[in-house]
Amino acid sequence: MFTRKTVFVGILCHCPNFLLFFFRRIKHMARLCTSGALSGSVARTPSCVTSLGEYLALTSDTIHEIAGSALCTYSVSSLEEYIPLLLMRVVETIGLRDGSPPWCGDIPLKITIAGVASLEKCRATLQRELKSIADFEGSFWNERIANESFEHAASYISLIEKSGDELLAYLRSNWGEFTDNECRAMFAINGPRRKGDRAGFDILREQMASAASKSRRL
Amino acid sequence: MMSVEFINTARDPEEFFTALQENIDMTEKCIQEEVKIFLQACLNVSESSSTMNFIFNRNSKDSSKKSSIANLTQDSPGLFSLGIIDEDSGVGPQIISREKKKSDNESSGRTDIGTEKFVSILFSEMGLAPDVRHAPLFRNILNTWNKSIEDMKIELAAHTGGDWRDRQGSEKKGCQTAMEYLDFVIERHLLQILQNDAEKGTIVALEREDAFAPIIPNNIYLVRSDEDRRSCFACEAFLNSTTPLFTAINQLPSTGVNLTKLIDAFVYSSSIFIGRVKNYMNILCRGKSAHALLGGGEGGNGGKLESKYSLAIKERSAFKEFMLLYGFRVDRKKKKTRTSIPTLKPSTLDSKARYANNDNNNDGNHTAIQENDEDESKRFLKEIKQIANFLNFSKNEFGRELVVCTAEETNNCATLADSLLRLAQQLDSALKCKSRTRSKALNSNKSLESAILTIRVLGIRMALFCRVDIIVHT
Repeated sequence: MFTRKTVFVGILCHCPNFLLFFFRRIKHMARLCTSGALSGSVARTPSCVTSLGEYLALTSDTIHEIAGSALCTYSVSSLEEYIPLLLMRVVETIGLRDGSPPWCGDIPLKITIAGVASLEKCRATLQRELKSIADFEGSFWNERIANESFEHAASYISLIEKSGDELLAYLRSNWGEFTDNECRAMFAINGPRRKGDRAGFDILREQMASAASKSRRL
Repeated sequence: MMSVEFINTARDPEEFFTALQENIDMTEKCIQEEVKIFLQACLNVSESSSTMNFIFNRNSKDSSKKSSIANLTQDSPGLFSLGIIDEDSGVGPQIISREKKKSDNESSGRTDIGTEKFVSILFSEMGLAPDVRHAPLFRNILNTWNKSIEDMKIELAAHTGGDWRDRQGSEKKGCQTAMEYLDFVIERHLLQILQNDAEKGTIVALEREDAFAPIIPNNIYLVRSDEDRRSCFACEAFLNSTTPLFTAINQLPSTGVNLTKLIDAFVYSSSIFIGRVKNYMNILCRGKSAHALLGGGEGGNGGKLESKYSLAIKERSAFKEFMLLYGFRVDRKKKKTRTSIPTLKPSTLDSKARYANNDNNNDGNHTAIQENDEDESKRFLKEIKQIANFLNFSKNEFGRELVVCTAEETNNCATLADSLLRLAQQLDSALKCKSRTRSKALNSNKSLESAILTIRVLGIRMALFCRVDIIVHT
């Protein structure tokens, strides 16, 4: 009946705000979800990540110059916790196909090996740049928390590469490392070595719950 | 010579005291008159104006000093050779007592200089001009001096056996004292000038187009320290125009009509300033996602307009450290851990207990850091719990619906936050004067405190806005 192209053109003609919808400013980390870099064949850093680094560096320098080090350090405080969290949310959003446009259908975005490498590159780039921006004399930068947060995100990103069995084995041995939503999203992801299986997490959770009750009885 | 003869002829101490009364009264009158003349010259009531030059011109002191010195050297060459000002030492004026000056002049044949001339030289060396705004300072000094004289009189009366109460009554019948003159000047002239200064200074600065804009240095390559950084024009002008008010508040007696009038003047100026700041904040923050996240209000009214997210941010250690950098202490709620039965602790003298404590202390710091980090991560979870919807990218159309500040707006927000916090800090320190009892009396004045607190709250609000805007941008 209607191809995707006709639907797209139809929406474009009937909805005058549609163009605005596309050309309005898009925030950096949320934009990563829709980046083509994750499904490409070459690992590259998405432009939104580069621009985020530039934005943070510029803003931090300007605030430092105009309003002093106290306000600057407070303005960029906690970003070492926020950015890894947002990276994980990106993966979660892709896995759960949350908010994908209607013409994309039910098939989720497949993350390739290059996509995983790209995500890992994003993490490394952001960690490095954030440290250079926020870690100065008298700043509230917490090296230990930063390392822990970014390592946690890295470990989550590395799960995308695993096959279904490997993922099951890992989550079984490290139960509680990630939240339920994060695990559910990981199971739903179309990774390079596995297909998305939304029900997989529920089965694993039941297994873990029964194992826990058995151990309690013993 | 006369007094020595009199002391020798006096039969008893009471007679001595009674006979001395007239002499003391006369001397005191003379001193009071001299002080009054000196004060009249120093205060220069007739020529003191409420010009606002001092508000924007920081170097006015130096220029006035140079000009007055130049005038003096032109008018009366050779005045410095009188020895009133020691040019070689460069330390400052050498104030010579009148008698000494007389004797010097008599011996050297120089002419005596009048009080006005002396005062003009004295002020020019200090880089100031005679002005009625100095009145509170003189009042404070004169009060201390009067008290010491009274103590001496009481001591004299105690030694000679005279009735001090009678003398106090007779003293009051005399002419206007220096203190009365000062109070008269303060009430009639100074209060009006200070009120005008505070009001006009604030309004003139607020009327500027760049009142709240950041002041960017001419030399962008010059590395500046935090102390060299300037606040926005409006905050600087408000501080400069209210500083004389605060000085006067600190120096006038803690009770009285004058103090109330000064406090009212400050509250009035601050209400004008706060009103404009709120308007400007509204322009900057309106429609921004960070503003909505923080609750949409100014953060005042006891936190009624603050969102849960805003409250969660304020619990973070970064916020507390940030407040300490501006000299504010965030009050922590004390945990009620007191029990009816006191806990028993092992004796520290006991060797086993001591060793055990030492073992614990080795890991004590590490454990404390870990506990602190755990608490911090809990607070972070609490913080992100409040913005769960915001972290769901699909709900904000992958960031398309989020509105953030432009680079210029971010700069303006940061400048305003820093300026307001520094202003509140400076006003707060001005409120806490040296004397403890005075400080208590001033602190008890709620209107002063609440005006400063509002400025601080607005500054905090802008700082939070800057932080959240960067997070939203991320």
